[in-house]
Amino acid sequence: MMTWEWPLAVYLWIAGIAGGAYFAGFLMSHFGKGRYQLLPRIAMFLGVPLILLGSLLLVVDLGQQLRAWHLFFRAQPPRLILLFSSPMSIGGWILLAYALLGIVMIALWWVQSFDPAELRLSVLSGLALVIRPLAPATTALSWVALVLAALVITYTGVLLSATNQALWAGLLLPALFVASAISTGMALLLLVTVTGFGRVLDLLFGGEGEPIPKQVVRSMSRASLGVGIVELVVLVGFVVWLAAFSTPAAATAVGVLLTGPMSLLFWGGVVVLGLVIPLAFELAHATTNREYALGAAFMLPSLVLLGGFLLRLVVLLGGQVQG
Amino acid sequence: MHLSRRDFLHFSGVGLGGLLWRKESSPQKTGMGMLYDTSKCVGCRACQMACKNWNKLPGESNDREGIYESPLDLSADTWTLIKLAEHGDAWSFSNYQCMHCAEASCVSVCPTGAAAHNGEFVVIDQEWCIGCGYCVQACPFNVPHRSEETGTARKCTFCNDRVANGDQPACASACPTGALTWGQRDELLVKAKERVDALRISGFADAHLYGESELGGLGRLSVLTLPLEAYGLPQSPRSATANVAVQWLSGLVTAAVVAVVPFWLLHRREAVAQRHAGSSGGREQ
Repeated sequence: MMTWEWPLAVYLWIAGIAGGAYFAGFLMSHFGKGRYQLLPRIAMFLGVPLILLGSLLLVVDLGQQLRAWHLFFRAQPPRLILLFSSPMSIGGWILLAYALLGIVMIALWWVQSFDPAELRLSVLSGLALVIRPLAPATTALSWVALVLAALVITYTGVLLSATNQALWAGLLLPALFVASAISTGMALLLLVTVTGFGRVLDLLFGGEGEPIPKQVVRSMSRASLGVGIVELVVLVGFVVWLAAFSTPAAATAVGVLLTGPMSLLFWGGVVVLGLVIPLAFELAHATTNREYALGAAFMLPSLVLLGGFLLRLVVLLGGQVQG
Repeated sequence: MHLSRRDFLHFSGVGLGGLLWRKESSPQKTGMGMLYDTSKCVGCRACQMACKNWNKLPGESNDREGIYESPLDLSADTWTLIKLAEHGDAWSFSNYQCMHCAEASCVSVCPTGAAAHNGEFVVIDQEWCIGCGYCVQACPFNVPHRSEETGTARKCTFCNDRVANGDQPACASACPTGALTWGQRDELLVKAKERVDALRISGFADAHLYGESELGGLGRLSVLTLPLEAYGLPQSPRSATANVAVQWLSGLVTAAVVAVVPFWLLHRREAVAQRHAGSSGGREQ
């Protein structure tokens, strides 16, 4: 009997995508000197709904859904509650802060990319008036969001680590989830840019809706390759550590992934489909000058996203097989 | 640790710092406690029945036949359970219930403060628990379970409602042989050590005491006659949050590494390539 079922795996996956996409998008934009400005905006615009959807899944998974507010407030006497020893308590506040900040930032970007006179809808122009004074703080806020995004993706790993389940309790699970989160976040950005959706979002933020230049996609694909390699290294470290250098219970637990009931999903889904195939294609793409066919450009990020979900699933369910 | 609004605002600034420097406190368990002596247990399961009766817990059915254990494990509706421990040809009864640890993992991970040290015992506030299941994953002894019926995590309370009225827990008062005894923990400790010595002299070479210092001292001490593995108890149980600061660091350091390895390096390469292209007359690529 499992206490944490598959909806939690979906949550861990999409919270990772949301935080990872902003983390990756911000760094592309920051280091790229403005060439990739749209990326953190896409990440936030898609990330906030993902975070909200994930939080909804968390609440649905509770035994007492209507008491979800107990995570934030004490009734007697009324006060805010934050328990530093509990990753879930910290995580609740991180998610809340990230979602609120994300909404403010989307509004800020949107307000800055339009002329006030253009805003015909009175409600929206009223909102624009309220939010516009914050505009000088946009850069500072984008850095705060970077830190919060790093905390969101780390939290998804620490949540599982601070337990007594042998598969989760080591030190490398947060590292693995962080690497996977940035990898899947990058995949989301790639998927949006290679399909037409990126152009729609560009229009929304006051751009011309032009196609994303091939060079941008090429750079993103290279960055994605780098993140994928880090993820592969951390995954090998995670498995080898548990199998060889940790407790006998941990070796048994990781056996569930390697040879046990989860082995097909782990080897076939996480390793081959989610890591090896995308990495091989991206490596070929980075070392030659050939362009992707549209099918490959669409398939590879999709495989990375699928692999990220299966990773959360096999770790979440596999970790509870013993218990 | 419950925070006022002002405290929260103050702490949010130094939150991560506080997390990194936070030290696991090691309170030694004092006050009342339980002693289970397997050498006196006859496996009658009066403790199980008394627990069910007092706490109004429904019976559970299982379809296994030919074994002594029923139900098969602790659950949201079974807070005390007798099992059979086997080691080669030797066997003994074994009583399972909440250990009421001084460093209780369920208390550490509980996001709402519903699981708390209520005086000497670890109690989950049924009015406040949100049923997230975190304590279920965190407990080193697999004690709390989430109830489908109430939607909350439930476990042994050491009958705190009885103890508050000067009575002893239902299991101890029902035990006909004195295998379960309730009393001052330090007195029980002396008694348990004497018993272990006596058992060793009378031929139980593996007799030992469990719970004196594990996790800051368990509220429940056990005199066991077989090696620990026979009972499925962990040799050195660890708090679920023992490494939590390092685990946060592990994730954040990885994020920092990823920021440098693909993103910063990629930018460097592109910047160099551009400068190179600029100096050689703006060739493509």
